Amino acid sequence: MELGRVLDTLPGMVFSAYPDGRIDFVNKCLAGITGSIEGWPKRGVWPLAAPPGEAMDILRNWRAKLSLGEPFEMAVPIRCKDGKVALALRCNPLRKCGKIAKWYGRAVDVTTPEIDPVREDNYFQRVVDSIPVPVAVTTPAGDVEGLNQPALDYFGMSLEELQDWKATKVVHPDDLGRTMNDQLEAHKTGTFYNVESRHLRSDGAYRWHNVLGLPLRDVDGTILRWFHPLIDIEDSKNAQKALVERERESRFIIDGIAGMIAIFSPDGALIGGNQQILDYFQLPLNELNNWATNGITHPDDLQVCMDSFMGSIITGEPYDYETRFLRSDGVYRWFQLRGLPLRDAEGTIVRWYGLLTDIDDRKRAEERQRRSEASLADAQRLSKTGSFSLNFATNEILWSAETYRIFDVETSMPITMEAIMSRLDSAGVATVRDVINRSRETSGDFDYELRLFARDGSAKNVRVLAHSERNAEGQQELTGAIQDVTEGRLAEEALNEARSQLSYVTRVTSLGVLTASIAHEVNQPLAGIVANASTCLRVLVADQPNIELAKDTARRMVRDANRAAEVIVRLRALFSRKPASVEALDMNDVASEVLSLALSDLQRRRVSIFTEFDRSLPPVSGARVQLQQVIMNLIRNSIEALESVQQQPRRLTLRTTSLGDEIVLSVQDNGVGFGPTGPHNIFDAFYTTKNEGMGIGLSVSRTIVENHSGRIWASPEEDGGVTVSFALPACQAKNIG
Amino acid sequence: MVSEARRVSVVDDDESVREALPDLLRVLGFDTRAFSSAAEFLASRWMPRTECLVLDVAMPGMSGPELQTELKRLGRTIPIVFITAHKDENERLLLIQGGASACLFKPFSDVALLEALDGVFS
Repeated sequence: MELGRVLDTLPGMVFSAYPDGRIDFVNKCLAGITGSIEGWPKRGVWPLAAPPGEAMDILRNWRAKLSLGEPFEMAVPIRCKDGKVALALRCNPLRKCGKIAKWYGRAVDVTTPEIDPVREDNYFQRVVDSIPVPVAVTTPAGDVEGLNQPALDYFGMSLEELQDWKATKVVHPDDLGRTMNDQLEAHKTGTFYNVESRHLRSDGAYRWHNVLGLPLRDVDGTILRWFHPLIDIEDSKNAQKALVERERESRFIIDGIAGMIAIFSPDGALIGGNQQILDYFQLPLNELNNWATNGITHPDDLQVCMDSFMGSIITGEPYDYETRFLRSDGVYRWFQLRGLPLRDAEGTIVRWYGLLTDIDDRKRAEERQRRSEASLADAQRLSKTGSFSLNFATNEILWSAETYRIFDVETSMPITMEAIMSRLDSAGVATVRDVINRSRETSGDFDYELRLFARDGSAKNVRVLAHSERNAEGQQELTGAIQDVTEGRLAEEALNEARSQLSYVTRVTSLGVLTASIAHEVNQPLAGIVANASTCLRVLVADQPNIELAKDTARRMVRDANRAAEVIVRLRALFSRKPASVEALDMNDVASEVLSLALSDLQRRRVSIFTEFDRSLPPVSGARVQLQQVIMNLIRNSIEALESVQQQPRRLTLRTTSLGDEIVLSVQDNGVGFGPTGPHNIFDAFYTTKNEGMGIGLSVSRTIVENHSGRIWASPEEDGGVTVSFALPACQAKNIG
Repeated sequence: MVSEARRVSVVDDDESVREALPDLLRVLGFDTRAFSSAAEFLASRWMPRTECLVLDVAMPGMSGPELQTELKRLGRTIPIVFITAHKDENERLLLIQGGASACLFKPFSDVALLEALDGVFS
């Protein structure tokens, strides 16, 4: 207690405390400051002038420092009669046997004697005013205490008006709540903070500010003030907004481009793409990045893609190639891929931008065009028809490949009018000049023929069909086709030749058949007559005439002459058109007579004749000559059908049979048959196509047969030949004629 | 006329010729036989002895040229004078080219016949 009195008499403030922080003793001087607070040292707790939370922090700090065991200083706000004083406590431990037994300390009033409020305000004011941005100074409780000049200028208000900032529109209403929350939170924890909010400028515009909260602490770490610099970020905010907007616009543009955009990293990895590319593949970006392995690139194009794309990635050269990509529906479409590198200021590639343009339709059109050109060329080649055009405005002459071929000119040669003219004869030159003169001025069609001379001098006939008119550019143009008709002409000439030969042959043949028949039939008896006459003469002029032989020869001459006359009569009847007289006829006789007329022809053509005559046939009633015409016609047809038979014997069988009440005559051959049209309409067809020869066709034969109440038909044979038959009713009255 | 008559055979299917020609040939001094068909001639004993054949071209069965071929096949080289009622110069030419000595169109004169035979026997 002695010590206590000593201490009480000291002019300074001293105290002692236990290591756990409880106050043990305060001298009178210290107790005097807090005189109005009864018995506080006894409770062992500093009578702090602070809100409870803050007080707890201070006490915690107090104990923490004590526990460190080292001399320390700290400031504490203490309640007193005038309000509060800030005491700076300087503490030293008293150790006994190495352990701290007590703390002794001295307190200095740092409020009253050492801090001059006026001077201090000015100091702050000066510091704060020197900052070129608006600064607000607030108390730890958050009340505005001061503002620097830039702040007053910005807001255009007085300090008093601004102290009421929470109730005015100084802070943008949308930002107020957030600002207050942040501030409250920061003041509670005492930490630096940073908030963006809009503040009303004197001209009525809100501008974005970055508001900082900087706590000003005393030596003990107690927050004395908050400084709030307001940093105008309106412009950068706008710039940022503009950037976002531009980004959005770019995105819009990129998504709006009628093509797919791909963005690659410098090493070729896909890092972005527009909506189109996602829509096309219906795959996420990371999957598209595997374009080389996941099958979206057409296998046939893969190598080109890898070479072109990776080549560009390595060299940094722009790429441009075409490939097929698999659409989500499983269809490959052609794309043109073009890419450019984006470089930074140093020239280093930072991005690759690739544009994928769908060229499938164009590609297909090209292919169609190519095919159609190829097929046109083929068609021109096959038809030996070339095309050409002559533009009068440019004097340009264009030829198709076939035209070059027709003119026999190398395709590398330039075409000139002179070159064309040099291949023509004088008539051709005149024709072409005339056409060009006329087509130069007016529209019209031209159709003419020229003779062209090839380099080797051989001639060609060409037909030219041309048309002149103004083209799309308004230039007069002559376009046309040129056809090599040489072979056509030759064929036509050959055909004409063949025709005339045919008609000659036909004429000669029909005449020939007639004359040959007549000649043969007549020449035989004539040969006999001449031989007999010669014999007769020689016998008679001999020294001893053989009268008997002479008589024989004379007799034979008479017989042969009669025979010849009969032949003539018979032939004349056959080939004349005199009215037919109906009589009872033996079909075998009728057939035999015809056969005898046709025999020489048949033999000459190496046709073997077989006759199968039914000798017990009843007679038929009919016109002999007409029926003979029918039979002759059937034989003639068979002879023609046998003409081309080479590998086997040519056979013709003439057959008569009795079939019920009918007599049937058939002519069968092993010839070429009916051909593709079959037997159905030969009786018509022959009438129109073979109305020459004997002057009767099968249709006439049918008419004759039907006039005899008969019928005529044809049937194919197994060996390819034909049997044509006609049947006539048997004659009941056997004694007719 | 001559010491030994040349043997001439006539083959023709036409009766008029077959009757008239042998008489004429005999009058002209040849030894003659007539046959109505090639087959008949080939079968006859006269065939090997025949020195000249007067042969009709168109006959039923074996024709004149076919007989010619058959004789060639048999190794018989008998000169042939063809006679035909079908006047066709082309055919005549073919027959001459085929080895015939002559070809006469019926009707032919005794002079023409004699010339042809003279050609054979000269």
